[in-house]
Amino acid sequence: MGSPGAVIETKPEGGSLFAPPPSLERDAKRREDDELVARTRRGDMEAFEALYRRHSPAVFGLALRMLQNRADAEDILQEIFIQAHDRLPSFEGRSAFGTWLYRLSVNRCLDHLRSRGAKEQSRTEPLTPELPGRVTTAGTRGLELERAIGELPPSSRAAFLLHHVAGFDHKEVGEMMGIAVGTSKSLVHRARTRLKEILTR
Amino acid sequence: MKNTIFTTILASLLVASGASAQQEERFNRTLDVGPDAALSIGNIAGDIHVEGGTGASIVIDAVKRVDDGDEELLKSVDIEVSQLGNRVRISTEHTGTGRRHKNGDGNVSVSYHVTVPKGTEVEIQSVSGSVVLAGVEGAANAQSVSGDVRVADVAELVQAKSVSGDVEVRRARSSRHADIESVSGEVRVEDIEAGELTVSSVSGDVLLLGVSSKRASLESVSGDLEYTGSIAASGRYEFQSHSGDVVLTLGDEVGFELEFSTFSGEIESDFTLKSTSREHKGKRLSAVVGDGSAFIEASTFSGDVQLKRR
Amino acid sequence: MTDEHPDIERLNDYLDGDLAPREHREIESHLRQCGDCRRSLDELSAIVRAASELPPVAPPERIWESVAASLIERKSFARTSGSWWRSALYPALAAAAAILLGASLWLAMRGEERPTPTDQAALAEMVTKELEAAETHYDKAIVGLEQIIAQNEGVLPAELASVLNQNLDLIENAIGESRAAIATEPQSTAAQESLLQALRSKVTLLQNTILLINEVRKGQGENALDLIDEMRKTTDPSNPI
Repeated sequence: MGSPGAVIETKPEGGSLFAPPPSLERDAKRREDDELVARTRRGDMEAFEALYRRHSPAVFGLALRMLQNRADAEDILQEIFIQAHDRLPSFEGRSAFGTWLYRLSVNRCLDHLRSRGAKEQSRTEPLTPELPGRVTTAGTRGLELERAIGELPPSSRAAFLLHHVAGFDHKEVGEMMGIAVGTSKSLVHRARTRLKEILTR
Repeated sequence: MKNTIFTTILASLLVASGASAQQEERFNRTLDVGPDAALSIGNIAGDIHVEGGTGASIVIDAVKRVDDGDEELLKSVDIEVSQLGNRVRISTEHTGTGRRHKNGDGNVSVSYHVTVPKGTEVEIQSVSGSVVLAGVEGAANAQSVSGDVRVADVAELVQAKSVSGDVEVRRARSSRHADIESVSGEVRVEDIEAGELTVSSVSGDVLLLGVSSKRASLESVSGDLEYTGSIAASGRYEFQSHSGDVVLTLGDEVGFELEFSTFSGEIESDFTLKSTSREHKGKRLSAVVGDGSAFIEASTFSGDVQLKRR
Repeated sequence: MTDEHPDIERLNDYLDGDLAPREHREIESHLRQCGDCRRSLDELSAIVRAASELPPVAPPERIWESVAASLIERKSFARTSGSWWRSALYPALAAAAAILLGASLWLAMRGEERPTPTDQAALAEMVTKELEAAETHYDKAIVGLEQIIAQNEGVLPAELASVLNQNLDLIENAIGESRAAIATEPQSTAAQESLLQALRSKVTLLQNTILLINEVRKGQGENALDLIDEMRKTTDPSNPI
C-alpha cells in the first residue's frame, strides 16, 4: 500500500495502470502460439495439447470466477476447448490466440450464466468458488475478493475479470464483450465500487 | 369467555335509544402507554384506522353496528381490550350463542379508529374490513383478508397484505425486508425505501412508482408489473410474470445491466441497448445501458416486456 | 476547489490516471489532507491490486483427457503425429470418448450451434432430467400441502375459498402453458423458468391458504392443531427453491 497521499506518477505507455503493458515477453508468447495454431490446423494433436497447457489455467480461472461453481467451470472449460478447436479454421490470426480464446470463453460463461436462470442465482447465496487451497499472495484479502466477485452481476463481473485479472485494456474488453470502450470502463468502475461496498460492509 | 393472563375489560356501552333499523354502540377507551408501545388489533368485519400522533396514550374510538336492529346480535359482539405494560391488544370477539364466528356474522361490524403515540409498533389483522395505517415509526404490519389495506408514512414497514383486497403503500421505509402482497387485488407502492422489497400479486397488477430501495422484487402470475421512477445505482431489481406485461419506465440518470427473457412475449425498448449476449433461443436480451451500474432482470412467459424512457 | 470530496467515480478515474493534469493535482492535494477519501482510494487500490494477483487455476488432468477423447471421436485429427498415436493414452481415451461425447455435446448445444438429430436427443434428455428433478421437488411439496387443505375443507368461508380457488386455477393454467411450451421447445430456458416460477407460486398460495385456515381454526377456539408445523414438514417456507 502506498503511503498516505502517495501520488500515482506514471502511466505505462499503451496500457492501463494495472494491466501488464505490452512487452517483449508478450510478443514472444504470441509468436509461439501462432506456431502452435498453425500446426494444430495441420492436424497436430500435440500442438493443440500445448495450447491447452498454456492457456487452460487462465481460462479455468476465468470460468471459476464467472460461474462460481467448480463443476460448471470444469464442464465449460471442456466445452470451450472443444469449441476452440472446432472454430480454429475461422480464426484469422488478426488478434492473438489468447485474446481470441478469452473472447470465446467469456461469452460462453455469460451465455451459461444467463441460460442457467439468473433468477435461481439471485435467490441463493453466491457460492464460494472451490479454488485451490493454497493462499494467494494477496492472502485472506484474495479469498474475500473471490467471494465478493461472486456477488457482481454478470457483465460487471466479466468486465472486471477481463480487465483487472486477465489484463486486457478497455478497448480489448469492449471488443470481446461487444460493448463500447466507455461502457467497459463504466462496468469496471462500477464493479470496483460494488466490491468496495461489499468488502467494507 | 376465554381465560387470559391479561385484564379483560368488557365494553362500556352507550346504548342507542329507540328501535331503529340500524343500531349502534360506541366504545371509547384511553390507555396510557410509554414511548415504546405496541398495539395489536384483530377484527372481523368493520374498518380499522390507526394513526400515529403526539401524546403518550392509545385512544380507542370504536363503533359497533348491526343492520337489522338486532340488539341481541349487537350485544353478542365484544370488544376486548387488554393491556400489559406498554402492550395493548384489541380484539373483536363474536360470542354468538357460545359459538365463535371468526368469519363474521354478516350483519354486525365493529369499526375502529385508534390513535397511538407515533413510535408505536402496530399489527392489524382484519378479515373483511379495510385497514388504514398511517404515521407510525414502529414496526408496521397490516393485513386483511378481503378488505383493502392502505399504509402511509411509516418508518418500519414489515408487511402489508390482503388476499382479495387491494394494497396501497405510500411513503414507507423499512430497514429490512418489506413484504407487500395481495392474491387477487392490485398492489400499488409509491415512494418506498427498503433494504429489501417484495411486491406481489397472483392475479392483480403490481405498480411501483419511485422506489429508492437497493433491492426490489416484483412478481405476478397474470397481473401486469409496472415500475416507474428512478433506480438506485448498484440496485438490483427483479420482475417476474407469467402472462402479465412488464413495463419499466426509467430515466437516464442511472445506467443498468439488463437481463430480459420471455417465451412468447415481445421485448421493446426506447433505450439503445448494447447487447452483451447473443443467445437466440426463445427471446432473450442481455444488454448494458449507460454505465451499467444497476441490475434489472425481467422474465415472462407470454407477457411483453417494455422498457420506456421517462 | 480542493476542499470538496471527490465522489467515488472521480476517485476511480484518479486511480486509473484518467484525469486532466489540473484535476489530478487538485484531488491529489485533497487526498493529502483528507483521511476519509484517502481510505476510499486505498480500498479501491487494494481491490485492484488483489485482483491483479488472483492466480490462474490449473484444471484437473481429466479435463484434458475428456477434450482429447471428444476430439478423437470426432475424428478431428489426422494421423500425422506418430508419437502421439503410439502413446499409451490413446486406447483409454478412445474408450472414454463414447461416454463423454454426450456431455460435451450437450454443453455445446447450450450455445448457438444447430443440433443434429442425435444431439437433440441427448440434449433433450439432459434438460428433461434436470427439470424433472426440480418438478418432483415441487410436486411433493404441493401434494403435502393439498392434503392438509383437503383435511380442512369447509373451514374457510365460501367467498374466501372461492378467491383462493380461482387464483389456484390461474396458476394451474400457467403451469399447463409452461409444460406445453417445454414440450414444443425443450431447450427454451424461458419456458423452464416459467414452469418453476409457476410451481413456486402454487406452493406459496397453498402455504398462505393453510395460514388462513390456521387463523380461522384458532379463532374458533379449536385446539389448534398447529397447521404451521404440519406445513413445515412438507415444505420449508423460509427457503423456497
